[in-house]
Amino acid sequence: MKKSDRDRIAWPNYIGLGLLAVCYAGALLNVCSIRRAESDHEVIRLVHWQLELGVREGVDDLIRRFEEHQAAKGRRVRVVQIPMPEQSYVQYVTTQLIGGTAPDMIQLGKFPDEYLGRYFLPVSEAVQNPNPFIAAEAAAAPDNDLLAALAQRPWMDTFTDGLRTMFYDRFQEYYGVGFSQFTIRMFYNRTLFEEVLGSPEPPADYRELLEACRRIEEYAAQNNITLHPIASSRYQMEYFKGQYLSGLTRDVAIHYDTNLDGNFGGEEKMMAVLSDRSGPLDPRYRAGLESARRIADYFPRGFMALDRMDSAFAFVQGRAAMITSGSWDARSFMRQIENQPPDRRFEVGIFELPQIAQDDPEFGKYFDGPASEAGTGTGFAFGITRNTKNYDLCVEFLQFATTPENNSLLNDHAAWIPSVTGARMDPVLEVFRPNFIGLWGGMDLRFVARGRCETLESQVFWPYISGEISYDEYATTLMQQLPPEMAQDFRRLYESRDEALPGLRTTRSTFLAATVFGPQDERIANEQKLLRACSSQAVYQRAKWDMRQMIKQTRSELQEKGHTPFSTEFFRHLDRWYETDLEESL
Amino acid sequence: MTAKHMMTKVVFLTLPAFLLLPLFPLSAGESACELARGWEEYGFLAFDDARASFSRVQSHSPSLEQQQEARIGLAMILQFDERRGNRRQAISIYQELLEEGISGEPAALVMSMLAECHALEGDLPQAIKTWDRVIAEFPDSIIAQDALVQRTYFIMRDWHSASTRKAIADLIELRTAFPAPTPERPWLFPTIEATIGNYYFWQGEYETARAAFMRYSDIANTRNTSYGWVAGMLYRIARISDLLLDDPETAGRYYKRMVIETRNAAQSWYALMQAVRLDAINEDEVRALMLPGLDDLTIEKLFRGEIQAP
Repeated sequence: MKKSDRDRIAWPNYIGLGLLAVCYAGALLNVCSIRRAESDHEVIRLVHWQLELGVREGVDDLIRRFEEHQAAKGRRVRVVQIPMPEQSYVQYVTTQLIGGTAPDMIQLGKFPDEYLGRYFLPVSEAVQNPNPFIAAEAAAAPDNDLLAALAQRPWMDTFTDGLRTMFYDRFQEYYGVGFSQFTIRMFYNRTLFEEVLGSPEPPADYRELLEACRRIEEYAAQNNITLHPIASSRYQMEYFKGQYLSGLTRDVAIHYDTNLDGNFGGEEKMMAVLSDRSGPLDPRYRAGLESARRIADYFPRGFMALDRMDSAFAFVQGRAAMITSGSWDARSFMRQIENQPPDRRFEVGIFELPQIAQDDPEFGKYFDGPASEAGTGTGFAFGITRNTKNYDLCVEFLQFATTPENNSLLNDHAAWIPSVTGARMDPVLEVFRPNFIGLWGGMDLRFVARGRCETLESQVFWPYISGEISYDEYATTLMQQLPPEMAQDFRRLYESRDEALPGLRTTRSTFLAATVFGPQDERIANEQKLLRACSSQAVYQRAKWDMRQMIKQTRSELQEKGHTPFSTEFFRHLDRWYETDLEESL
Repeated sequence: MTAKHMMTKVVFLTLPAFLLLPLFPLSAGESACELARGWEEYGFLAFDDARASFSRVQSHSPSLEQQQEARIGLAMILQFDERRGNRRQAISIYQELLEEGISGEPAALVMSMLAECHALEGDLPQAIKTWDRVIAEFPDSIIAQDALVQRTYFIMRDWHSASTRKAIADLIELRTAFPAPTPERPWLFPTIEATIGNYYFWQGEYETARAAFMRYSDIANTRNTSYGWVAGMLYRIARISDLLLDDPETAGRYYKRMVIETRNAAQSWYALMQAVRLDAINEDEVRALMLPGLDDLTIEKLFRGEIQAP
């Protein structure tokens, strides 16, 4: 090779080497600065996946005030926020937890619950004592009776939901606290409503919603513009389906809740189908799906191929008049609409999903009421990992974040619903406040999580919703194919109770040991944990006897009044297993 | 001598000491810390780390009690580690501990765990014998109540089977041996009452079932059990009274209790509608609930009977 050729090749190599050196130096500098900060400060890190508008700013503001508060006490504290895209969140969290390098606080969710028992520290003790930061706020506002009362309560009781969804039955512990609450509503283009319908007010009931959709579609056709009544994707359709199907079948749940415990479990749903009290041939069930399908008629053509973000863009760009979404999207929607060119901006309104009126000619006779939101838990919740060196500081941060004042400020940034009693809420968001006036339960074919019947139903639901098949075809297919699948789901549900037992026994054993060998001042707390663990195990064990009792009762009832082809087929498949494996499993 | 040589010498001189460190005996304080660490790791199901801690205490603690506690830990790992457990080895350790004369509550725990191992190994008669010993010898310990609950559930079969009938009869009789429960210290009575109540519910003896559920609700609260269980039980008592016992007074009382004590349950609005229907709650009391979404118009309609539960 000639010298000049070597030089030509060498130069780009030097550039590459130089770049590598610069990157290495940068990384080194970064590591050094982190190490230095950690030697000067107590550092805690928190990771979350909420990249919606305003959230990071809200957390930054919260961090700034927390650091100032600590500095005023002479403590050098640094809190590092690590926002993470939703797609890579589970991977990141899993790797960090297994590697023992996880941030001190991790947003709960997305990853399996098992992680909590293995990698997180419970906060049960802290949440059962008052939040000292609320006491400080109360002292600064002596006329505020609510604050004074909250200061006396256990921290958990200062949350609007009593922190009930942060209690994990399986581990008998509280594992985190939530900063916000979330509900789903319909967003609509008020400007367009006024222009097309003559009034900016939202539809009062289901019929008015359909009528509004019809007129918007007509308007779009007359003016030859791209405008859909409702922006939607599969994601949004699932919401309509859930709301209307359960709304029209609530009495099924309430009346066939066999053990009267206020929960319409998978086995009870199966018995309702088996004894011909509900299912695809039930007019209430049919009405539930038909009412949802009428709405789907006003979705964009091919909506099933769209994703959630596509439909959101269609709405904010004025190409759709309405969209269902959660309170988490409110700020993003409003900001994106503000960023549109002036002629495309519009005023946004929000309303609860319209209910079916009692005098509705088709569905009114079946409609019992909307779903209760009383059980809405807290979200945007953080747990503390077991590798943290600053557990107490993490608890302090969580307490600081959940005083009425700080919780208001944090949620103001994101336009989210606060999770703490007494926290202020933007009046625009009032419509998102969980509505307790609603009923529980409803019928569907989801007998067991990711069950075979659910899969089968999904295979015929989408062709039905998109108009490829009629309801009769939907129902006939299901009635023909469900029996063996339902027998399988019954078996899976039954066996899942057995499969859970070893884990529950192990959990119980940890509290047995803690009661005997733990510190005396924690004895009562450990006894109560043992009670909860023992109860969990008993609930799973009894559930098997309940299932056997229910199937026995349904069988004898059917023998008396005569089997249907459906029940005959179901028992034919069930008995293959029931008379052999089931008896042996006892 | 260069600094490099110096460093090498220091490392070579101190390395054996570091390697021999685990062989030195632990003080009582160090053993206690190691035991605490072992139980903490056990709680996180990090059985390998727990095993290391317990083994260290077993080999190096000067105290017999601490050694025994460590051996219990090791046996429990063998019993509950689904991956690397060995129940037969656990049984051997438990039996050795009993033969050595382990006493007090640790003995109750050992016997109870031993019984559970026997039951899971298919030797139910031996398990029952061992549980009965725990119940008879340690009536002042919650461990004995746990033994009673386990005994019951291992014997039970179908709700209508003879073995279930016998297990429940024993449960009813043996529970009287324990001190009376209080909401502050309920022990495992809520689990026992829920078991009895469920048994009678499925026998169709609703009065007896309700009585057991009521005893449950007298001692269980959202602190010592859980929010969902308390709400579910209040609802169940109300429904049994309402639908099966034709007792509107009790039904109304429990519907009202449910909406007041567990308003965050999804059934609270339904319970409120029922309480109004049964005249168990008045308009002022409903207003005082301040349920989100409940406005004056809805309250008026509710009391005029225009809104009714399905």
